Amino acid sequence: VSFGLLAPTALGLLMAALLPIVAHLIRRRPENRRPFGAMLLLQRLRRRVERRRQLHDLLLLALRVLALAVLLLAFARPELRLPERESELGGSGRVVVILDNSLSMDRRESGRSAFEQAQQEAAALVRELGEGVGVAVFAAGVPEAPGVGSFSDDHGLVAGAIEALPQAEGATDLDGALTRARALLGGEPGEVVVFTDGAGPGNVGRAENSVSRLLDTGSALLPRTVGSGAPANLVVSAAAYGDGLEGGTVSFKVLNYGPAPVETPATVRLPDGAEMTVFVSVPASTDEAPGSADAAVTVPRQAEGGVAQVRLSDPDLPLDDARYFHLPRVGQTRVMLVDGDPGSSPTRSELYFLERAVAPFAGSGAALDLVAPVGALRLSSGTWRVAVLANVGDPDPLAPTLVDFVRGGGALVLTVGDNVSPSVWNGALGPLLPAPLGRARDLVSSDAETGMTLQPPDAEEDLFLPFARAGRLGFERVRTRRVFSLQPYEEGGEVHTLLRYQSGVPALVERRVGAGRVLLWTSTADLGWTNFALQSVYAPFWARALTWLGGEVGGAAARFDGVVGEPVVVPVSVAEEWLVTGPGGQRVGTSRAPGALNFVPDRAGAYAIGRPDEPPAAWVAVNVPAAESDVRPDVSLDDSRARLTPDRVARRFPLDPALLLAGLALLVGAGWIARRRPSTDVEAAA
Amino acid sequence: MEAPEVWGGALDALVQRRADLRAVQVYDRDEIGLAFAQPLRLYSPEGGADETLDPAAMRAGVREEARRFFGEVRAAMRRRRGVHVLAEAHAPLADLVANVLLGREAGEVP
Repeated sequence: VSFGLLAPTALGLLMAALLPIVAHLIRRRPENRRPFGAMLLLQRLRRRVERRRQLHDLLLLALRVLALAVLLLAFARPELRLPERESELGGSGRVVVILDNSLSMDRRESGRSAFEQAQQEAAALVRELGEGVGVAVFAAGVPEAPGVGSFSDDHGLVAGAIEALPQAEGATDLDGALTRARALLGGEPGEVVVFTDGAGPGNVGRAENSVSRLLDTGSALLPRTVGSGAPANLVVSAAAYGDGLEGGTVSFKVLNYGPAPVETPATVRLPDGAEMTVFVSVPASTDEAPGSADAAVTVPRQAEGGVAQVRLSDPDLPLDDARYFHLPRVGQTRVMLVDGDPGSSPTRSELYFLERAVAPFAGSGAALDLVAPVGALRLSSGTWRVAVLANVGDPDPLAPTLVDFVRGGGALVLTVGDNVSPSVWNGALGPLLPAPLGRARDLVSSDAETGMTLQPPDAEEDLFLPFARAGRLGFERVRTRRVFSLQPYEEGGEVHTLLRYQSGVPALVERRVGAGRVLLWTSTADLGWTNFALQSVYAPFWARALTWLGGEVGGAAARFDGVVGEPVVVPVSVAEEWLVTGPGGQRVGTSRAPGALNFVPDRAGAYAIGRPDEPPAAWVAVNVPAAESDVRPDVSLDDSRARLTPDRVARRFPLDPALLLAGLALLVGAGWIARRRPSTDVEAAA
Repeated sequence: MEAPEVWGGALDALVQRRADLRAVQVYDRDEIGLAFAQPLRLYSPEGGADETLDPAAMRAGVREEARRFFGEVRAAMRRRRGVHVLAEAHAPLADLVANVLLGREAGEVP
């Protein structure tokens, strides 16, 4: 039963009900004042009359106010709505059951989720249907779950399918489920029973068109609301790594959709397993917005890169308690410097200048290990993030180690010199070189003293971002007399030229190999062929290069974000078979598009992309849809249906004629009572 | 003008001393008839709050109250074997004095 007003604004006239009271309050007193001896008579009369009139006047005032209110209410055209008696379910012979299995349906009450309650009620409903009634089942969550897509009169089978439906972690797709139901009904009438919690902003609004079309066919829409308890839920709505003390700070925001303030422990779990817990006090939700609190934890000086998480302890809706975010590698970059030309004194070492250029940054950027070529056999991506191979004459014994190191996520910097033989390098380091080496050649005539200058680098490149404000032109003062030429290579894909000389000859070329990358500097690291080491940009460039390589390679360079149930598109520049591994270690189905790898995550967590048995080349941090955490009730399906087809939802009885009659009767009654009022009126002078 | 309850005790004391009681009550017909045309405020020369009234609406009531009051006074006098003489202010004084001296209850309650 419900009550409505066709002209609710008329209720504003109810203020007129105050007029009799106001008139009483503002009565005027006469000016004429005279002495009177028989005041005792007046006082006795007043007391007598007041006793008689007290009840009488109150009754009269109440009747007049009530009459006015009733008449004004009648002008608002009220009507009584009685629900239409529902016919027995299954009367049409075709019933479609829609179960909302979106994330918000995991909300718990007394240890049982709304989805479990819906499953139980839906299965019972199906089992009670009469014989011969066809039943189909669709889920209204993302990703789509298999139901019973065609009408079946095996009610036991359908009930079993309902009980087997999984709880999804994605958004509500009521519109999609209703569309599938309409398609199955094929424009003929049927009955569609929808089990949903009605939570989440906009879900019903987005489905309104489908509801309208369904009702237009003469079908009945029968919403069944489950989980109607007071909304309560905590969620981490955002989390991100940023600068700060020690190794930086993880900042996150906690929202409270419940009516009471909450203090909850929040644990930040890093990819290497380290955990930090803080307590967060979150205020209660208001009508306008959920309660919100910001919190932060400090990250240790050393931490592995990957996908980290912030996890709450919230029994109301456990599925949205974790928020996943990317964490870059934190801490010093350990660099192995392999000196292929140590020279007769330290100052004649191939790496003398590079070592000194980077050393001042060791406290914050790089920890250096200077070794002879044989020492590079110890190289592993688990210990070193970057290796610099400088003018090594015979890299052949090192090649397998170097290839494993790079493919496993390490970064390798190659510099050349007089010790380098193109044929030896091409043979040993072929899988790593951006392009096969050609011959060593002079960039300028032998009698020239200065050498050829570099073109200024592209400030848009990540590597050169620190030089965008200043220092970029310093590269133009680098003069090089001799380089190794490169055999023709195709720009793009794996190989990318980062620096060129004025003549266009490549100076610094990058190649992505497996999970790592290789940088080839086509000249010497010392002063042998170039004056680079004497230029102001030398130290900041190598400091930046080693930090960039150490922090960004190892899979951390490729970071993507995703939402459960929505396609994740990962740009892939190689033709190799990448695999996607889900948070539970399960293999995730993928599809390929030109230059891209697609997959749809079905649960929140860290998804790794890469080759088998290698560190991931990319990470995807997948979170649940934010709207599902908002468990406050929105527009209900009942309201939507009633608005679209009011006559089919309720019988309506206009109340204004009866109220008009009642108001008039009250006025007449008040008049009659007023006439029977005690005739002596001490107050009537007003 | 006071209610019999106020002065009744004093009369009782006189009765116990075997005194003869004679009460003369004089009223103004215009006064108890509220001979005013417009609403007005009345006050007692003996003090107290004003009374606001509409003479037309109260006229009958005041007259009735006066009749009731005179009746109460007369009854109080009778209970004490006294004589109550009620007289309009403009009535002949000789009749009034004669009634008092002869101990004749007189004067109709208006």
